[in-house]
Amino acid sequence: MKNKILGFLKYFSSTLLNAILISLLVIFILWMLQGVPLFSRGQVSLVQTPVVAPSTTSVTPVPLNYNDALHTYELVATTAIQSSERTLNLMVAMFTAIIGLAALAAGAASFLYKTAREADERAKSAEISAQAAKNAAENANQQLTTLSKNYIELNNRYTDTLQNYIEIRNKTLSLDAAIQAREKGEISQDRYIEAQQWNSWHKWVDLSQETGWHELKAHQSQEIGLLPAIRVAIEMELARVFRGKSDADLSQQDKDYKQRLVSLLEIKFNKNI
Amino acid sequence: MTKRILWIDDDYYAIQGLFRPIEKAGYNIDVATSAFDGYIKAQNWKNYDLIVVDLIIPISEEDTVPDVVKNWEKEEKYDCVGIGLASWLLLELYVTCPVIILSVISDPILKYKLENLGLAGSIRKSGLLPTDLKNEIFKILKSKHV
Repeated sequence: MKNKILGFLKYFSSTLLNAILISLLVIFILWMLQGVPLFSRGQVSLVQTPVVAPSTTSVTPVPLNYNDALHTYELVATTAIQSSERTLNLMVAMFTAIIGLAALAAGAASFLYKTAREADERAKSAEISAQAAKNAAENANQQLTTLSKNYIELNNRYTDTLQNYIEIRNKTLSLDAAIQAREKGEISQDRYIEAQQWNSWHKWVDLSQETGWHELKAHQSQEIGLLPAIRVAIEMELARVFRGKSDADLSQQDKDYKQRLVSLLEIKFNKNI
Repeated sequence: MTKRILWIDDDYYAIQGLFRPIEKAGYNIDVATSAFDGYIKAQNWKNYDLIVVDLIIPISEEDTVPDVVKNWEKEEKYDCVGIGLASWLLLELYVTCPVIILSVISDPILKYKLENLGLAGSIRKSGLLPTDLKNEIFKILKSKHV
């Protein structure tokens, strides 16, 4: 509130000063044009001095009669009244002008103040909005970062869990056990073939035996192809090893490994079978 | 006299259950888990009534592998050492006992080519059950009068 009052007074005083200066200029112009008797230029004299002829020998006083005195009095009074009227009129005009200009100045100041205040308020509002937008953006960015971290963490946990599941499943049912189980009809043919594919996977990924890779390629070309569990294992291996790494960061060995994994995910059928 | 089978397969210890019915039928299984190991044991091929070759087998973990075995790795089309081994058995060692392929690979063109070289037969390993393997092998041995 205090700032508002100070702001208004600032604008008002500035405009009022301008108004006074303009008024003074107007008065000065009027004085030059009409002979306003604020600053006498000698046209009107309130006291008429009798004209005395210079004499070198003697001085003869000229006595004023009653009519002359009355005339002189009327002349002085009329001149005084006229001068007073002019002064009064000028004062009225001046005050009117000053008041008018003051009112105008007040209006202008008010308008300017209002405009400035509105502009200020708009600027403040814009600043607040910008700050709010910035805060919202930062908040959203933070949330995205958090979500991203959570996603990666969850994905890693999912991958680890799935990898453990795959390993446990692989260990639980060895290929020889699967052969016996299938022979007794305890597991399906798909489950048995899956165990064979697990064996190839284990050889290639865990034991680094090339034969495992070739067996997987051979399984891939069969009618049944690579079974879903193996395909998931391939995808998990891709995620585990290569997530967040660009090809530029990979060694040639890693690139070859990745290319092999990706090629196993292709659906291939040997038409000759 | 007990019959003997040379089984060249790096997966033997993982899938020996496949041969259990055959063993129960009185056959002895002699195992080679690499091409080089098979190369050595196959020198005495006359001791065997049947040689079973897996197409996808490693050369060897040993350093002293002869060039003839190393060259089996250079099979361009299939990249399978077993093809070179089977070809060597049939075309260079001239084994007279039946040689069969037991592999995941089941390419009929490859099968046809190997049969033209003298291969006794091929059995697809994928989804193969012990009784099926026994029946297939007995059928091949019977056809070869073994």
